[in-house]
This record gives sequence, structure tokens and C-alpha cells, in this order.
Amino acid sequence: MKPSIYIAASGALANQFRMEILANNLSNLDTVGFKKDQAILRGITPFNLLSENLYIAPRFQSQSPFIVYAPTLVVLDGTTSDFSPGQLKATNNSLDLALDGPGFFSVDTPEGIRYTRKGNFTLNQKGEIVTEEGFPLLGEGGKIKVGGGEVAINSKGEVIINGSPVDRIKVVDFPRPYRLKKQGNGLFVPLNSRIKEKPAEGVEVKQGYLETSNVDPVDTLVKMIEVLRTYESFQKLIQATDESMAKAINEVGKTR
Amino acid sequence: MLRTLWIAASGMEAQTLNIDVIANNLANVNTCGFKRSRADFQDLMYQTLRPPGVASSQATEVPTGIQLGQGTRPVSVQKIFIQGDYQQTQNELDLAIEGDGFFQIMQPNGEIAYTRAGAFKLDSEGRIVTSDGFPIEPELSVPWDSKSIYVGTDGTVSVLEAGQTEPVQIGNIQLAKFVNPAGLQSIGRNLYLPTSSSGEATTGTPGEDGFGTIAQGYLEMSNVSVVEEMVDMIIAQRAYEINSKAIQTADEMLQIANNMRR
Repeated sequence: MKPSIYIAASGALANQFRMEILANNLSNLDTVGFKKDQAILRGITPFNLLSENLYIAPRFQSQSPFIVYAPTLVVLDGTTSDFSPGQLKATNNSLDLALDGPGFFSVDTPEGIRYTRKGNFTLNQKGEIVTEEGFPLLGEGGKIKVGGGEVAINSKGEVIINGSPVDRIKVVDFPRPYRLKKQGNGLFVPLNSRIKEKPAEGVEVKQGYLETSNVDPVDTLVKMIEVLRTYESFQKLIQATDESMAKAINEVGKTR
Repeated sequence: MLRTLWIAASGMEAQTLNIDVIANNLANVNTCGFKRSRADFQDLMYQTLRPPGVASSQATEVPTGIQLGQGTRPVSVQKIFIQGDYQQTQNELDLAIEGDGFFQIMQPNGEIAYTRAGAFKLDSEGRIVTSDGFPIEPELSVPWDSKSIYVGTDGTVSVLEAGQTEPVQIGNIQLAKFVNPAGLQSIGRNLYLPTSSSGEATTGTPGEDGFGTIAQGYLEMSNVSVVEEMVDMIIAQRAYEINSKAIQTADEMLQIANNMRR
């Protein structure tokens, strides 16, 4: 079999994955604190294809024996999140918090501490600041209890109830590039336990604001068109390979 | 490829819910004491095809891995309890709460419900009731020959009876407060019921312990801002549209795949 048919198939598959990632970004166009994902594609030369098809182009043989043709497959190598900030949207809601600058809120989930930029917090019946799933937001002194009073949060993240500060929201950061994976629900978790949080610098907590999703609809639409047309090109490549093989099988050895 | 269809469909469903919530807010733009709702979304779980952070050899690890998101889902429709505007009505039984708190209303089933809609009336027995005829709790009865009713900022209700020159106090309006008002359950008719998430009601005198004060002759209007809702509606509609484009693209890609073999 000609390797070009596999190459084209691998390219088509990789673009299917890209399309899935784009669709997920688009469906989260309105998700608070969402960070878009990107596909990382990589070319690989599988060993079996290499050994079978290592092919020294005859034209160049006299000059250099090393010009070879090595079939390269395209595969999805990984996905990364783009941590660029989303726009801040004013909501006037006292428990809507946005981080203006790099950093994350820490929330206490049953699986351990998770990190998020999703700032649409609420209160639970004990009067603690929690996420919408009920996971407590962590301050310097653990859970932040505000009771039923008027909550004011300043840019340093200090929580002030009826004029007196009770706690400070813990905003943390990680060494760049971020090595965090998504857990769904807007939560991030470090890839391994060696990645340690550190206090965030140059970040302000803004009360009454939410960070919107950082998905750019126009950019995503353009990428979607690109994916579609690339996918189509791979289809044409498969068809062309198929045709040339058909010719080789049916016509080259034909006796009249 | 089929995954793309479902992912984009989840986005379209989410935006449908968003539009529903916005439509309800807009429908209640003139409902006194109405609090707007907001639909919040979050990303669904991720399908991990290759876990990031696992060791790729003794000394190295996979830096990124492959995580495919599965779309979005609505996580809550939250009531936003910010103050609505006040409207002066001159009506002596129109009461507005300036600050935190809810009026307590006795429902026919004996359960107390809570409201911020202060357009009260009198029923045939002289009780102060809501527009649906549910009496305020604790019950306040106005003598039939009263000329006027006065409600103080601390909730003291007094009446001036015919032939008298001094008003007589007939009772007090008490307000209720919740730790987490966003956790209240809306039951329609501008009424809310407590839930385990809102916590139990604590009652108190208006103006004390963080309770709001009462303003007679004013109504609290809906806190829906038409401009804000309109902008949200445009965003929701476009988000819906763009997700449908993702479905179209996926559909076209499937067609291309089907046409591969001629």
C-alpha cells in the first residue's frame, strides 16, 4: 500500500480532533472564567513505514545518497489551555469576583484543592463563600465566613464585613508556563505534586465583575473554516491515491 | 466527529436556557420587587485520551497530554438580589425596603413565604394583605373607621381613627433575613420559600441588626435593566448561531468523509 493514503488519513483524523476542540471552545463562549484549548499537532515517522518506504530519490542518487523520502504522519500530540485573560464584565453583584492579572482562586473540593478563575461565587447556608457547586473559596485562614452581612472586597482581596476585615482571599499563581490540566467545572489542577502554588503578584481582585470566556468567536470561526477545507484536501488526497492505485492495478498490466 | 455534533449541541442547548432566563427577566421588567435571574454555565468534564503529567520515561514526563472537552452545561440559575429602583406612589400601603430583608407573608397553607414586593392592600376584614390576599405576618388589622395609616421606618404601624387627633399604634412589621438569599426558591407571585441552601430566616425590627428600613409611599421596582438584558440577549443569540455553525461544519466534514470513496 502506498503510504500517502495513511498520511492523508492521519491528517484528516488530526483535523477531526481540532474540530472537536474548536466546538468545545465555542460551546463555552458564555462560560465564566473559561480558558480555550488548542491542539498541538506533531509529525511522526513510524518505524515500519520508514523501513518499508525509505526511498532514495534516483534523481539525486549521484549527488547525495542521503536525500530520502520519509513518510510523515500527522497526529494530535496534545492539548494546551490558553491562559490569556478574558474580558471583565460588570455585574454589580457583590459575590462576583474577577482577577485582574495572573492568578487563581483556590477552592476546597472533595478531591483536594483546585484552582479556578471562575469568580461567580455565592453563599451556602453557613454563610461561607462557595462556588456554585458548593466548594468553599479559601482565604488565608481557610473558609471565608461572611454570615449575612454586607460583603465588601477590596482590590487586595481583603474581605470586609460591616467595616471590619475578616479574612483575605487567597490568590495564588504557578510558575510559567502553567502546567495545569482541566478538570471540568472551570477547575484546574497541577499536573503533578511537584508543581507548587506561590502567592500571586500583580493581581487585583475586582468585586462586582466577572471574567468572561477568552474564546474569540471570529478567530474560532476562521479556524473552523480552515479545518474544514484542510479536511477536504486530505479527502482529495485519499481519492487521488486511490485512483492512482486503481490505475496501477487495472490498467498498467492490461492486455488488449 | 459525532462528538463535535454533541459538543456544539450542548452549546446550543445552554444558549436556549440563557434566552429563556433573559425572556423571563424582560417579561418581569415592570413587576414590583422582582429580582432578575442569571444563568451560569461551566465546562463539562474532559475526556483524557493521554493523561498529562505522566512519566514518558524515567526522567521525563508528558508535558501536555490530550484532553478533549465535552461541551458546556448550565450549572445554576441564580437570583441576583441587588436593589431595584424606588418609585414614589404616594399610596399609604405601598412599602419599600431600603436595604436587606423580606416581608413575611402567611400563605393559605399555613407556610410563611417571603417577598420584597410591597404593594399591600386591605381586605374586607381590614387586614393588610398582598395583591393575592395573603396576610402579612404578624397579622395587622386596620380598624374600619381609620382615616389614614402611617408606617414608620422601623415598621411601626399606626392609624388615625375618625374623630381622633392622635394616631394609635396597631402593631409592627417585622422583616426576615437570610444568610444566602440567592438560595431562596421562587414560587411565583413574587414570593420566595427558604431552602437548606438559603438557611433559616432570622426576623427582626427594620433598621436594626442590618435589616433595611421601611419607606412608606414607595415601591421597589424590578431590578431588571432592559439595556443589560438586550445586550445579553444579543450575545446569547450570536453564541447560539456560532454553535450551529460548528454543527454545520461537522456535518460537512461527515459528508466529505462519506464521499471519500467514489
